[in-house]
Amino acid sequence: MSSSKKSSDGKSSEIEEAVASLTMPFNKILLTSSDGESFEIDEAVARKFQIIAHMIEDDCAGKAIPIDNVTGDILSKIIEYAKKHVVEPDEDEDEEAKKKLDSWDAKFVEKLDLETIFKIILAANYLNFEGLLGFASQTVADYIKDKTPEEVREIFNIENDFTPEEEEAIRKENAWTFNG
Amino acid sequence: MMFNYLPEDMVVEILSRVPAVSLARLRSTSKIWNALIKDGRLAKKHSANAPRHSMALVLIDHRVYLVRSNLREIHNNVAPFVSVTCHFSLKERLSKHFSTEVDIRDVFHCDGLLLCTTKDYRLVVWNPCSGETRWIQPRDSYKKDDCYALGRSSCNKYKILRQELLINPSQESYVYNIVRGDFLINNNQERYEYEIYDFTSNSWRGVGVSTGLFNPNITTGMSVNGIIYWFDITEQFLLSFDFSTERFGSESLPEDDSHLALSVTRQGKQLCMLSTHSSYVTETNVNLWIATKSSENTEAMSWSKFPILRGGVGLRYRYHFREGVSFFAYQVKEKIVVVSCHRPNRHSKNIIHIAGHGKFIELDHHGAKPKHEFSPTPLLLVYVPSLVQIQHGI
Repeated sequence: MSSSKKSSDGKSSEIEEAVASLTMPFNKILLTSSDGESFEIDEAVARKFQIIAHMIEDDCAGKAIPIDNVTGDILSKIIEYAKKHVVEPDEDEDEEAKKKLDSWDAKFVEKLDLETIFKIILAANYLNFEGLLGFASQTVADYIKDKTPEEVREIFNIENDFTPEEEEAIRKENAWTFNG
Repeated sequence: MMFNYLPEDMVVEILSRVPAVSLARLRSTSKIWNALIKDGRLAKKHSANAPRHSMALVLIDHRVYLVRSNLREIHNNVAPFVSVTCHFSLKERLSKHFSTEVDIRDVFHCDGLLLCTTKDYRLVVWNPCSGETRWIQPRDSYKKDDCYALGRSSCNKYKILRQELLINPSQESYVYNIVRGDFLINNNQERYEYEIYDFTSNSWRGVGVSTGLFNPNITTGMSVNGIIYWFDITEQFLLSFDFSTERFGSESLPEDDSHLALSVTRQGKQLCMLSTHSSYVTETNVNLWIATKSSENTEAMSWSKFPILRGGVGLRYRYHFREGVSFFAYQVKEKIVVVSCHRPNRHSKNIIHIAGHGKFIELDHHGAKPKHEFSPTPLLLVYVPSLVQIQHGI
């Protein structure tokens, strides 16, 4: 049995947490998606979702928690991300680990289409998973920042409710924002 | 790509991470997006989340233009290219169907807001990204010698400082000098009166009077972290006004150099200064000084020197680097490049030059140029686009 080593010189609490989790009895939580898919995850991972963390604090988390608003395919992606991000490396202390994680994040979204990312944003918001909400939002922000209004309307399925005159007036005003 | 329903707060979450200029472009996407981009809720998140980019503007013949340049390849001996073609249009609505373009005399930048004095001496604050404008009423009337600057207090409220030149001396024989903090016998005809404009109460409030010896124009100053800095008349001191404490201050400047102009670097977070030094009558050295404050609380400002041009022989350097010059500085591979702008003369309408990397280039830039030698002195300034709202600050 590995002994729990608590350093007294104030080392990062993430290390303490990780070490403690090796010696505490495993707490597993079962999440069930809206379409009946089940996922068993460690409590530490589940705590990344603030709504579940609150339930655990308030002692009303049973062993199985239904996630009514999220389908299995999306939930599995979210859990995959949460597992990788249980311990966030400190940018100043461990640059190498941060770079590796950023690289993993980039590959993670690369494979996803925009519609899936939108669903992930909604689900991360529902679960109150701030880290993933920020990351996924940033991904979409980076995708649209060089697009024209026409292209963005198509991406977000937005109807153009300006009259041609109104649109022309705004275009004149912001002509400087278009290249060339 | 189709997605049927993304609620507004998720759209805000995404848009708060898009740079301000891109959002300005996307205003015509839909009416809701146009409103969001002007909306207070997006502005606050945007100021926290979005990356900031520095751009440059130039004021030529009462019009503001975007300065586009490709300075990155200077170190590879690729000729730099500067283009002044995108014109920022400030319109004033005169009636329901008729609006006219405004002629701009002076511009002062703070956090993506442009404080503009019009040709007819009126005052307007303008955010070109959101399109928001706010015309400011004077306390009594606008005067042509009025100078204005825009800053921010610690609670993120934007305020305007007005500096009014009073020619006739008052009956008092003593005047309190707000910079030195003592009373002086008022021998001067000139006095400067200062007022602050508060956007929320839409009113002006006096903050003090000072003798003319120290305080020329705040309009040629810079706003850094909400505080306004400008040169005193001797150019030996940097005067400042802090909107949080509503106090004036002064910093000494490096000796030996002639200090010409102020600008900002690092997306508006750091103050810098362009100066010249002549060891011989015909030789000019140009230096860039970058300011660092040792901490938030101490008053002392220290300056780091970056030589830009050494031993420039000939009168043209004297001519280009003198009073009336404006500039911005750009970092290219650990070396600094200064882009500066001076008055036109009867021989040439070229006003922009580039110095750094051991080079000095007089640029025949592409685009708008002063109409003739008596055109107003052009002004080059740093612009950091943002969605900051005029009414309530951040």
